[in-house]
Amino acid sequence: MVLVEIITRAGLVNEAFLPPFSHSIVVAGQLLFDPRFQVDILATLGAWGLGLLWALLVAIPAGILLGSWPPAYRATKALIDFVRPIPSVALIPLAILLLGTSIQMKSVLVLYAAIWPILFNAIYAVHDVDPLAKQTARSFGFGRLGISAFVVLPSSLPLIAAGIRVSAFIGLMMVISTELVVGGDAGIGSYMTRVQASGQDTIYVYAATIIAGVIGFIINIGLATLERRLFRWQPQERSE
Amino acid sequence: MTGAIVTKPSASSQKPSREHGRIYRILQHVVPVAVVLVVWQLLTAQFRSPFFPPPLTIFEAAYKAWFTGPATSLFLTDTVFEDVLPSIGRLLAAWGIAAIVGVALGLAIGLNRIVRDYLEPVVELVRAIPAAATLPIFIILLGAGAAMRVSFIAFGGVIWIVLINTILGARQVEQTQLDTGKAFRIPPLQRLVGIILPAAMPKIFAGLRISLAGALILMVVSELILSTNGIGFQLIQAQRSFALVQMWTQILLLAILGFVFNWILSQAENHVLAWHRGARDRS
Amino acid sequence: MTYSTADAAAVEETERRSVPMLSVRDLRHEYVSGKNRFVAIDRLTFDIEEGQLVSIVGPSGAGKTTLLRCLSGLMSPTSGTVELAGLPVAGVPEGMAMVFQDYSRSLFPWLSVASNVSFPLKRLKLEKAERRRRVQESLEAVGLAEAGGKYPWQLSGGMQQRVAIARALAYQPRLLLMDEPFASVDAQTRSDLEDLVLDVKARFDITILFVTHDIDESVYLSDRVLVLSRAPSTLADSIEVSLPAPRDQISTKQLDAFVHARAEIAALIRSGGADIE
Repeated sequence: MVLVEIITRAGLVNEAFLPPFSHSIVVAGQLLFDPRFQVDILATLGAWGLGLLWALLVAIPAGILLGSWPPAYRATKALIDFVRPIPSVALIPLAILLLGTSIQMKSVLVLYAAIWPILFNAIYAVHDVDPLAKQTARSFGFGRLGISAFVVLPSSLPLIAAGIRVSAFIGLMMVISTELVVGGDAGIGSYMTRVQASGQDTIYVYAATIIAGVIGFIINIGLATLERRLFRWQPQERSE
Repeated sequence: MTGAIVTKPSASSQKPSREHGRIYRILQHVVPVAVVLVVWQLLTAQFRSPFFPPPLTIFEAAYKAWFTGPATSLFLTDTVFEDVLPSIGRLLAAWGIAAIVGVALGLAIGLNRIVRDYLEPVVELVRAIPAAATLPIFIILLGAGAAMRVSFIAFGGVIWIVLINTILGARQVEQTQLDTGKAFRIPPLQRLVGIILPAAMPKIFAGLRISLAGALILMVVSELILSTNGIGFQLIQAQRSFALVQMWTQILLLAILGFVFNWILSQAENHVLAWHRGARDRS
Repeated sequence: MTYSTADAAAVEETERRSVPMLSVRDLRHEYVSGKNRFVAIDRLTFDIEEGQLVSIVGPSGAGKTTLLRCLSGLMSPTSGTVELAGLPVAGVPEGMAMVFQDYSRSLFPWLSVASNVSFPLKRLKLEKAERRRRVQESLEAVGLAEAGGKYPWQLSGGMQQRVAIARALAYQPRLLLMDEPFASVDAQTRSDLEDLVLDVKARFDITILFVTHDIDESVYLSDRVLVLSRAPSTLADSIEVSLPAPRDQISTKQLDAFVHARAEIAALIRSGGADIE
């Protein structure tokens, strides 16, 4: 149903600059099997995955810690309002100067961009745990650690998971943006700049974009489905 | 039946005094930031890394870069007019257009179940595409000028976020409220403006806030590549000429812009959605 | 023939009162989803005279809500007719107001109490002074004269439902439909609100159709009780309630007539109206 809408829409617009959608898809398919492009995909996803992993390792414990201790929470809350609006893409040039144009540099950028949503969500989630639930656990004789493990952690996980989903998306954006700026020889964004620079058929750019979109879509849907499965006990809350 | 009114004690009546509360709140915000700045200053002064100039140096350079112009132009330097204002202008224009179109379309789609079933998945699909990846397409189609940048910000990012949030907002309008409108024979246009729009406002504002932050990001990205002026352009120029301090002033500017935009929108949201906070806190 | 103006008015009055306020004939509504058909109400026929307060009770699942939605014009019945003061109802008619069960979702949280009450009045193109007068009058009638500036979330449940009633009153309808309006409030508040309804009816002389599942409530308030059978609901019986006015929560409920009517209705509902064809 959905696909029909897209294809008819794209089929209508048909000029030299804008190849018909069906053609772009065909080329995209070809690209997927091209081993050189596969290197690009791996480079992008590699940097993304690495950065995201480190972000998780840092942000979740830090978030839990900061959220559990009221004074720290209050202090960080103020800082959050200042840090949150800073566009992480602004740091791309700095990263270029500091770290060159390697995969490490990209993953560091992803790390920086991805840390915040997870961190903030973890802090909020831990802080907003229903005090009644904690009291109930305490009344059953659970100690501090028990409460943390059995009450705080499970109830904050959904929000943290949502934060991870957002971070995953932001991280992907970050990698591709960086690749577009930097060029380089590996990565989807790099591929796009290369193709454009060498004056090849624009259809390859479209194809790459489609692939990037599909990847983004799969990641999003994948994480969302995972969330739904794991957290079936949560009342569905649609928030963005 | 008595004439007495039972009201819930509102939060504001519990503050010791309004003035004290406000000062305390402002302090709560300022002190942590001040502390961080001081620490940052001390660390960077200590380690003297060329990549991380001390904050005071950055502030000084920023002041010199923007506020040391002739008195005739309000002490603003050329770069303010050639880079800062055009960037901001493009950003706000793109965001404004996309926001209006997005809200209108979002309401139209969200209210009509058939249309919504078809289009909502499409919007979700397009939204999942990392906007940066679509930049090359915009460049191909529209060249490298201002029009491309505005379109990219507006239609590569902002509109999708606003759309999805508005659709969600329109969907969750309470049926009973709609029934009330119909039961009192309120005409459709008034139902839209007087019932549906206010009810969807919380979600719409969320979409506006997120998309504004996104617009800032997209603005920077579009100016890092193939641009001839703008904040992002200055940023990448500084990088190319290893002018670290200049680069940090641009970063500072972007941080300030991000903060100011968010703050303005939050204030607007607090004003328009005052009723929502009250209603939400109660339940 | 010429009449004096007084006679002419009296004649008009009699003619007006001879047409029932609400006239329902052979009302039937069927819900179809895929291959499943569910008949909620069938062969429903009754009249409601002007100035009466008529309750509709029935077992849960009886099409009370369906009936109300058809009567109010919010839904078109599969077949049958509804007439309001002689005019067929197609869509929501003029001169009718509704109070919903879920007051928290029926009032608009972004408007103050006074704005909520005056919201339906905007369409009537009244003068501002008249609008304000009506709002003030109806808020007084429900005991919320000072609450105009407050917001719904600042009021208790019972208060909110009073606002909904005030909103309906300000509209000055000829027919007031109430859909289990007190089902979501506590017992004490419910008694207060029931007395409010009696008060309002006496003061404003409106025709009220009151849907409830509470038998006590239906007998206490009504001039007549319509009992619905189980789905497909039809009229199991119509029971005249002849209790003296003014009614009072304690003494009225001790009268023989009350107990008797109550028992009769309870028995009908228990049997599901099965023995009535």
